[in-house]
Amino acid sequence: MHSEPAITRTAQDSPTKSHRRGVGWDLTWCVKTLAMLDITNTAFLGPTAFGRIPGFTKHIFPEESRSYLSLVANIGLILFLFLVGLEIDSGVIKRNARLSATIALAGMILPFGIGAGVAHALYEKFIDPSIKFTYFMLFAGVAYSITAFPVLCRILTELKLLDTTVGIVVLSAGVGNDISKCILAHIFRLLMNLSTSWMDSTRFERGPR
Amino acid sequence: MPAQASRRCISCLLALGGLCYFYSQSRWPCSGSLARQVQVSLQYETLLLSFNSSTHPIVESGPSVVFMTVTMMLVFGSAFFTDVIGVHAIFGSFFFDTPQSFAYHPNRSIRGWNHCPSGRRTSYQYHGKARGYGLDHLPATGELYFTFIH
Repeated sequence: MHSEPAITRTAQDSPTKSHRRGVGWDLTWCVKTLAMLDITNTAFLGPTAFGRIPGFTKHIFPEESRSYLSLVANIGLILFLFLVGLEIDSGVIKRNARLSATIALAGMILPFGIGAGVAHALYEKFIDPSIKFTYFMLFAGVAYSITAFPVLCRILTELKLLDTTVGIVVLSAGVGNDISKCILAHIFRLLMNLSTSWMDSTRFERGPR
Repeated sequence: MPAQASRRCISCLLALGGLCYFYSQSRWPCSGSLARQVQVSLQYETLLLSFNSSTHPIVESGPSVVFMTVTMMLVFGSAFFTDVIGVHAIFGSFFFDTPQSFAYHPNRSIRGWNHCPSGRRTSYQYHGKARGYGLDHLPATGELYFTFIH
């Protein structure tokens, strides 16, 4: 793929935004927040709908541009979360710490159990038996108990719930949830690496130099 | 083996530094004496006061270019360190503790509200703190504007 990076970036921007606006006007009567619309629309940009157009993924979202796209998205996310953090009064968080901890725990344990149950059913049917069941169960449970923290922030700001106690409690619960999710995912990755290196010791000894 | 060991050492050092930095900037109080020392020594507020009070008072005029530059550098540094220690980069910027009296100005200038001198200022002045107006004029997540104009 040989083209100007700026042109590719603009070409990536225009379907995303125009698609979002165009659909957003029509669907606001049934979808109340633009955040939910964004999620569905970005799903449409993938191989589900737009990717079926021949040459779309190859020219608009080529493989080498995706890391830069995620970089730009991360910069936007960092700025947005900085602004949200500016608006939050830390005194309200401290006052409702116990409540939000309870909500975070409940919001982790229940989906983790459901994910573990689904993982059992999936493991019987689809998964290669060389993968240990406990690892797959951990993976599925973590994947189910994820709170998408930026999405939560966007929904709260769009509904103007950020000033209320409910919004702040939910937000701090989401923070605790998401950080523990990150740590769990790292433990999961660590477990997988350790198991592979234990299984074939030659790979561990060779290593990258 | 030496390459791997040195890589591990470097990542451990980075993670330790990141943890120290993260706790020093975090809005959660830390009880350990060392961390408390770091927190006191890295006071953002005194740093920015030393930038601002000598030249022009920040409360009356907008933020200076130096103020916004230092703030943005610290925010992105915090985000970098949380990314390095393995938590996602957004938490560094979320937990970055700005004093409530200063929070209004980065808020305005990141969003480009410094162009309209009267708009969006009222509820801040009535309530006397940097919250109370919603994010309703924010266009989208990725469309934040950088205008270091005051």
